[in-house]
Amino acid sequence: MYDNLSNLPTVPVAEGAEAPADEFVWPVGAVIEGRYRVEEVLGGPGHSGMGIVYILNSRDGRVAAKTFQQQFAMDHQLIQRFLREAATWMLIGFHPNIVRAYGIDIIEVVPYLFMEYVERDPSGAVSLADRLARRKLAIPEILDLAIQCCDGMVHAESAVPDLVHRDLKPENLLIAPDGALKITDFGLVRCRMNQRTSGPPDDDASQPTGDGSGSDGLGLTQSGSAIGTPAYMAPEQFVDAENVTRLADIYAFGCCFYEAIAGRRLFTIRSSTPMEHITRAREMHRTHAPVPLEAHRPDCPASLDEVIMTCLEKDPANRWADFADLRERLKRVLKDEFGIAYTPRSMPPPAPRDVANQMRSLTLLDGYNRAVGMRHLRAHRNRNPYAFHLALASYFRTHGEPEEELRQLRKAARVRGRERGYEVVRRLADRLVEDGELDEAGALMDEFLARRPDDVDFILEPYVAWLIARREWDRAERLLADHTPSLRVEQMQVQLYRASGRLDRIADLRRRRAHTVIDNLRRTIAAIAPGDQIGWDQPGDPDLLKQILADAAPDIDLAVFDRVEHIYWPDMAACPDFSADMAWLSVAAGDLADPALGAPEPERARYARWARILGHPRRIERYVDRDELRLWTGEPDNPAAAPVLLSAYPSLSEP
Amino acid sequence: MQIASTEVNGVTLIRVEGRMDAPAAPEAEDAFREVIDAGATRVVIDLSGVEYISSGGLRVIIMLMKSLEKARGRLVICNPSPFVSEVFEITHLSRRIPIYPNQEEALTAAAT
Repeated sequence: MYDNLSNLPTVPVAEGAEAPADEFVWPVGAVIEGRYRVEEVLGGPGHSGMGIVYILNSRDGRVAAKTFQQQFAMDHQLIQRFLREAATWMLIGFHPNIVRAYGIDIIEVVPYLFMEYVERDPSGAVSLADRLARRKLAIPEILDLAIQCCDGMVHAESAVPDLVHRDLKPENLLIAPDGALKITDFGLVRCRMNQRTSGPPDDDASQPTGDGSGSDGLGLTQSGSAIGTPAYMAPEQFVDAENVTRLADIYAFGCCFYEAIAGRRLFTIRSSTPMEHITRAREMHRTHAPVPLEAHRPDCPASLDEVIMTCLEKDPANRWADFADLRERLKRVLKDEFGIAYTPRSMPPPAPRDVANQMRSLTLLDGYNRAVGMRHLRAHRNRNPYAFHLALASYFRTHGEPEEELRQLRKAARVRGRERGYEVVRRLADRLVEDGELDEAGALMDEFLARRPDDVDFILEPYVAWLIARREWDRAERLLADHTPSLRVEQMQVQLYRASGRLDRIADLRRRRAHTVIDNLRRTIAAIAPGDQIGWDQPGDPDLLKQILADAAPDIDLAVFDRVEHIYWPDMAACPDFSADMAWLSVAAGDLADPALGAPEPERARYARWARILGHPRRIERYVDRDELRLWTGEPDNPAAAPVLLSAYPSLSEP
Repeated sequence: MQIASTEVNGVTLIRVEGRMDAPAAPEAEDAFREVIDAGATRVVIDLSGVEYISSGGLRVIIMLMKSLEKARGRLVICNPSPFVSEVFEITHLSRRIPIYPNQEEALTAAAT
């Protein structure tokens, strides 16, 4: 369903729509990103809990979208927890007994987890808790639900190593009108995230607070500080929630289905404060023996009582070892006591698009996680969603994810409006021209120039590329001729001349460039004094430059390199720096080495040798991208990130 | 899931069988890393035995692709099922990883 949604045409947000501020909640009836109409809002400011769930309608039906309240948007630990939940849900994949996660989207800097919407039954019930509040369930029906729950947990555990849900409770066991049970809410999940194959790291807090029933006003689990819901928490989860195993989930399962059978909770806890509630719950789970089910429910078979009581053993070692084992015991009870063979629920197999969406979501989670991990960017997130989406686009560009880069650029264009930021026009048009989407690129740039007719310089690269793609050679040439000659202009001229077949002009430009660079180097080296610091792109470069200069300018005294201190990027400070000259010399030499340019031998062979020594074309690629790449691969809060960020994204400093 | 690798004319051929999903991803990742650690730069993955691939499985392939890109190597896929083929199309991975209908063409492409 979500896949189709993601393919719908994007529509700008309504006039006046701003980035969500603190306490912001999309109101019922609002249209988000032109795709989803808000039908219902669950939770949010004023309610307990930190999450908020929107029930959204679209042309493909209803979906649920979970996110966190904006007042917690600066809580890095909470965001990490949300991202971990989302990543876990994606990795779990598809199972009929787990609420299906369609994917993640970042909407105006906030991540939303899009999920299957489970319909209410005619009585309005949607969870096991709702059903239990309305009527007594028959034992075979409870057994069927319990086995379905085991099925879901077996799948989840197989998909995500060492997964512990930590918050199994009747409210989190949804039941579709057809009777299919679906486990939901992995907000407190703990698992061994393989950092190489999943999203955010596992970093949990384990300070218990929180809850009670769904009806006593303490019902929502307090993410960020809580580690479960006391009424369903295993004794060991009160002590060390961080290190619980699946056996804690088996205990919680026992609590849920004890309650389903008995029609009342495992323990009745009377308390006047949340802390007292936790303390008493902890005491009872640790020391009180459960009342046998038969005392509440005479029709409960002894074999079922035994299965549930084994789940509820105080010592984890005495519980069922895993959900597969538990499932088999329950199936046997259903068969032996009621003559019913359990039929697993089925679901249509996932479509390739479903898998692709989950894949895209994992990629997006990586980028978002990295972006919010950078303090300087995090600070900009809420007041400048435009810059945040642009920065995410940069992340995906440097990580070779062009599709996601394009999506983020489109979002940046949408949240801010095209007239106010040139950065997105430049980057988006660049991508569109590269992808051959000339009409869209043209419309985007025309719109920009209609508002800012004197600012073509801001979008010069994509504009020239667009003219070249349309074979408007003369127009491109006139435009470039109006600009002061520079390396930037030269790059575009070379692009133009190559496309229009005027290769002799490229040879002229690049010969001049090579000579200019050599002259620069001669002057710089002449000014060096022994003991000076000299900057280089990477180790080995001094020797490479010596090789070039020995050939290109034998008159230069290279011995000076032996009497200076060599500093390498990114540690070089304000000192003579050879990396730019070497990068541009590699470009010039690389072009002149092309036989099509007609440089005579041995000149051509000489340039080919230089290009090889300088590592063309990787040298210029690295030189152009190195600061941006470092931004996304270095330490997130490296102080050096701020100036890099601001130079890469001048929009970040815009109001 | 089963993974076996052999070398054919300087190209490492990895044959994967079974579901390439989240539970299988760590095993695949280890196997691919062994291939990289052994110095392989030209790799073909034969997916004829893979009927289903999840996002977890795709990520392992992407990581292999990136490792090979860094080493200036090449990754080629062959024999994807219609399901796998469509996943590669939708994720646009097919633009980044050449896909061939049979092993022979894939090996030739990887070797050149």
